[in-house]
Amino acid sequence: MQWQFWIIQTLNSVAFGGLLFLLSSGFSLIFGLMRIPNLAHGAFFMLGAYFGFTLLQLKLQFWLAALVGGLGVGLIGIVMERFVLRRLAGNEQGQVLVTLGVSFIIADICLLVWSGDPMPLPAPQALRPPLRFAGFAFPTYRLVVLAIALAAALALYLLMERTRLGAMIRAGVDDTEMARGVGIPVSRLFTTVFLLGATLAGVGGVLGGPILNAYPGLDTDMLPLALIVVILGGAGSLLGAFVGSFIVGFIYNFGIALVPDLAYFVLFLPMVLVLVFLPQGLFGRVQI
Amino acid sequence: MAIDDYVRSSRTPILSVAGAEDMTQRKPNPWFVRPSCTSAQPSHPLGEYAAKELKCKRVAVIADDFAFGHENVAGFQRVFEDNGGKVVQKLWTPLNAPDYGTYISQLKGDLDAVYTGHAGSNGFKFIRQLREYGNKVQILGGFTPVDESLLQQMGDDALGAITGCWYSAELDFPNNKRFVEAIRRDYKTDPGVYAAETYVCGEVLDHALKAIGGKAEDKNTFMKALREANVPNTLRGPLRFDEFGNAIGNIYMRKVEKKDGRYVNAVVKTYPDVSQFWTYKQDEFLKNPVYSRDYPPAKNLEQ
Repeated sequence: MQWQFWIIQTLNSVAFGGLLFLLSSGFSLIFGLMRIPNLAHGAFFMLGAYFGFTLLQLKLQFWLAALVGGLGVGLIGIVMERFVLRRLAGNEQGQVLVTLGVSFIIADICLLVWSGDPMPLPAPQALRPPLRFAGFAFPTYRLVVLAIALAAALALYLLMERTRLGAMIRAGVDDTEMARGVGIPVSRLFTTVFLLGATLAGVGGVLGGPILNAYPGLDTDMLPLALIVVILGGAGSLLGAFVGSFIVGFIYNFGIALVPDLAYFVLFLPMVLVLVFLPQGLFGRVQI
Repeated sequence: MAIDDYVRSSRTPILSVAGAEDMTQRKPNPWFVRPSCTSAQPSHPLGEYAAKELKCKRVAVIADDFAFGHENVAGFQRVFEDNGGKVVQKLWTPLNAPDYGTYISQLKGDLDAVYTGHAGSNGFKFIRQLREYGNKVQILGGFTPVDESLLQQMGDDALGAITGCWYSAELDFPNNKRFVEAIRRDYKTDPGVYAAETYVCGEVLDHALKAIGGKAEDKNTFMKALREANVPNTLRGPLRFDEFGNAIGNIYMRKVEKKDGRYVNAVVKTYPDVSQFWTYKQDEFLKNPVYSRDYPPAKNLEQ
């Protein structure tokens, strides 16, 4: 029984970590480039789940629904960045508060449109039966989400390291003033990164829907996790978001399994330690 | 319990649906009347039903880690073990847990049933994820996890779940049939315990007011009429109150079945006249500490 326990909890951890990466990568990029924690990020995730629910109700194919739902949230992200955040350029505190306000608005609109009951998103039929091996079972769908997260991580890595856009983003994260100085259109970069981040969160929401359901409160359940990932991994770093997501996945799953009485604290303890000893996180380039 | 002092000082009769046990046990408030149930009231008969009729011997219990979860589970554990069953595993999940995967993976493999004391959407999520992990174990539950308000969305995952509650939309009383039809017509959903409990409060209020000719200004008479209300035909069946103001009425064992394409909580057994003390003597019950995370102590847990 012992080794089975370790295997299943490891699978749980990495599957959860994959989902967290989809949620947190966008958050990390936005935080790194624009120096603000986008407190509407949890709401973006939840909105994606709700969009996914409706698109699936309209019988759209699952993966298509994930893409379309994600882009829908991405558009909302662009609108928020261009028409709200940009008005407060230079006022970082104001921008953070405004993202909080937008998160409330999004949450209330979701409640209005989809009502308060939790909505399950149906996973694709083919992925419903659990994978059975070595005497135990594991939900197939979660492993597929993990695979997608890994593919997304690879795609983002290539974007950041091999494209001009990526180079510009990295320059903006490192030193916004200098980037402007060498002619990088930083304001347009902000919008692009917001589009990217919000879309990632939206796609994460749809993909997470069959596991977590879409329900009022999903936003506030997920946002602290994104914060912890980014604090641990460091803001502005894709590697940080990647490593951080899996660390949080492991801490969450093993922590709960091994010290269940500390379930409420198991994530925050490491976060506090990191803030005290390594405030910029493991790979961070931005002082929080 | 937070407004207990205020209610006493303002002498306001309160019709409550909150489940906190001590409100009608060790800290009884004379202005309090509870037409629904204590958190553990429906769990007691389920404990007996599971042991005696379902012949369950080994059960794991998993519930939300807060007072309601503690009390709801405690009632089940106590009666189940008194009737020969064993609670071999006890898991508490944080109220805001996004994912139950890690808990589901810890459930032992040789259980006769899993009892869930989750409320609201947590029950929904837990049962769903349980089935996703390929775990087909029998589900037992308190009165919240398979509530009618969520049952249609839960679908096949919930089939066969057996829960104890003082209400089911399937109850055959004329008042209930009218209620269910009206809710279906106006809200396109089935009423569950959350809708029924407030309606029953209204029924009790109506009965009491009729008894005193509508003179609610005299608080003492009004309160007395509420406490002494013996309403034979509420949604849940006959209803009256004990000396602490807590409901005494039927508790139904319900099984989730599919009927005419809808998922329903079919009533498989009725325990009549159930009080908050079950078959225990009132004085002994009250001498014990209130039900909590560690009381009654779980003596049969296995590593």
